[in-house]
Amino acid sequence: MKVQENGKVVSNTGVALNLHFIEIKVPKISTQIKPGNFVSLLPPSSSGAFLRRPFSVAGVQDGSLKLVIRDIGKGTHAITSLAPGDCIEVLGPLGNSYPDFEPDKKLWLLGGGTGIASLLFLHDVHGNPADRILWGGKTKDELPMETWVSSSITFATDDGTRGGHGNVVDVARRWLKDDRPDYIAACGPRGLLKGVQQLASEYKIPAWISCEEFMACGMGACAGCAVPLAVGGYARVCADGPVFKAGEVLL
Amino acid sequence: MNLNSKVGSFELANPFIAASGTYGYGTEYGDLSPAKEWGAVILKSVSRNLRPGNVPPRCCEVDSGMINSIGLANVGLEKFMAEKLPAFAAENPDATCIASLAGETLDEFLYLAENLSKAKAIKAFELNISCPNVAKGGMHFGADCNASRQLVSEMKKITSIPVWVKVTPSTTDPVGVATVCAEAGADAVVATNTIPAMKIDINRCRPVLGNITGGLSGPAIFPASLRIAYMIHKALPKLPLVGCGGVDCGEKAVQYILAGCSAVEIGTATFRQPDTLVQVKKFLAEYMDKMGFKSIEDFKGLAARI
Ligand SMILES: Cc1cc2nc3c(=O)[nH]c(=O)nc-3n(C[C@H](O)[C@H](O)[C@H](O)COP(=O)(O)OP(=O)(O)OC[C@H]3O[C@@H](n4cnc5c(N)ncnc54)[C@H](O)[C@@H]3O)c2cc1C
Ligand SMILES: Cc1cc2nc3c(=O)[nH]c(=O)nc-3n(C[C@H](O)[C@H](O)[C@H](O)COP(=O)(O)O)c2cc1C
Ligand code: FES
Repeated sequence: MKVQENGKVVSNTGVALNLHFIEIKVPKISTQIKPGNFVSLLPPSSSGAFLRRPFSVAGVQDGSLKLVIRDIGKGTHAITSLAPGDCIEVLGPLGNSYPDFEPDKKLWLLGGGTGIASLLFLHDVHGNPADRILWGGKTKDELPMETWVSSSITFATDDGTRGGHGNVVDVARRWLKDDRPDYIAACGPRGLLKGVQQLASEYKIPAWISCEEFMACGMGACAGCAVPLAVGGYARVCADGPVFKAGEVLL
Repeated sequence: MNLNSKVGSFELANPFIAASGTYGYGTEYGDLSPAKEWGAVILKSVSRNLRPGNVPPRCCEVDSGMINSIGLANVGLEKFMAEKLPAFAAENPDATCIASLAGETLDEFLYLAENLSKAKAIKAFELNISCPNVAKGGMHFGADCNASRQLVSEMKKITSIPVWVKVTPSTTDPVGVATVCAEAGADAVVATNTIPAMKIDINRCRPVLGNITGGLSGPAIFPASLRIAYMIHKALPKLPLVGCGGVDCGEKAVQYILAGCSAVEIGTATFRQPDTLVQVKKFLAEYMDKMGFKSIEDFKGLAARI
């Protein structure tokens, strides 16, 4: 059940350029949340942001949600400026979630930028040691140091300054030379999702992608977050998604 | 405290109404803003056939509000009656439901009304002749006095359900449109819908919305919408009037009532704060108590009498 909860910031750590790991205590929401779900935060009114801002959940711990937030505008600036102890209103869980993948199946989790958030959560929950998780960025400054993330993450940068050289899809393509997952889950910029969709159909690997679109209500009530469907018409990212089977939506 | 209100002969348990297009098909908000807590809820405008809606992006934020160009995306009459209405009624047996009709032509409006008059759950019609986001019908209808007059009088001939007309702010003469609607027998006028607007992305050097323009809603439009409601009430004090546009707190809702409105619609504010309804009701009760008003009638239109 969706609830509105007054959250308390437990921690807020700058981990890379404009990138923050934030933990917010919301006991009611955190017991219900699943990988793929998102929450919407009401930025402090002093920020000038009018609507809520949607964020995927990167994990749960002790009644808190873990979020990975990049400061790109007024709402995210205000949220990434919060200090431990500050309050913020949270609405959730919103949207659908990734399917319950069988524990013995091998997953590849391909994330670009803050798209990594829901994949970190899925990685935690699925927990098969054979899973691989890849986090791509344009350059090394965008990615956090090892101390902040699990050692099982592989990094990649477009400019080769950290981890594998090339974008996430290039790296996954190289992996495919001597390995193959049962399923792929991906989240990130449109280009990444397009590339993953292409790769998955080429190699006939079932894949799920998590989409982003500007949201007004975040609750399925306004049809403002439409994404075109392959069969024609539109789906609402906030209610029918954000997770879609690859090929289902037109990117 | 008695928060009951009457829009003409139509009784509401409180004067607050969820605005069409912001409350989906009445089930989406669930316990966050239950339909039965509203005086009434107006479901998404329905057209004869399914409308997929406009090309995305369909929404953007602006100072104190948002612009939308949903384009009347809706499931169409058949699915509305077969699925959406029954689902709403099953989940909300105690709620008051109003259907918003969006026709491109007079015939389409009449067809919708004829069919929907058979649905027990629907207690009133709101004619949307004020949507800025469609090429045909919508506000082009609503800015034309002759078309509005004909629509309302034909509608009154075929249905016994109250007919409300939601007028557009995009005409130089909203009072003129309200006047012809009243003369043609409208049971109430709703003032008003969104105001045409746009936003340009300076990094991509192009309009933000896929449809280029859309309709502005939220607190940004409140003073402009209030003025239209006020002018209509001044000119037509007997016409039941519903205020709509920009209400995000009880103080703004009270302004609409003082301007002459019997009820107040709330839309965009619920996106930001799903418990807006709880807060406006609380404010209204406290305000009436403080001012010594026993009922909505006690202060409705007071500000228009000077
Ligand atoms: C389902 C979902 C999950 C998300 N998860 C995360 C997450 O885990 N971490 C995270 O940092 N962000 C996430 N986002 C994106 C986040 O919601 C936006 O970055 C945020 O709303 C921007 O708000 P702002 O006020 O800072 O930016 P604004 O001041 O509103 O805008 C600044 C600039 O950013 C652009 N912008 C605004 N919203 C978006 C968006 N949704 N996508 C791309 N560009 C945008 C604007 O066009 C503008 O150019 C997610 C979005 C969705 C829909
Ligand atoms: C996303 C969105 C969709 C809307 N869809 C409709 C609609 O289908 N029919 C209609 O009559 N008005 C529609 N409206 C207008 C609202 O009902 C209301 O008149 C307007 O938003 C002003 O009120 P507000 O400032 O309280 O939101 C829509 C508004 C928004 C923001
Ligand atoms: S944001 Fe309103 S339906 Fe998705």
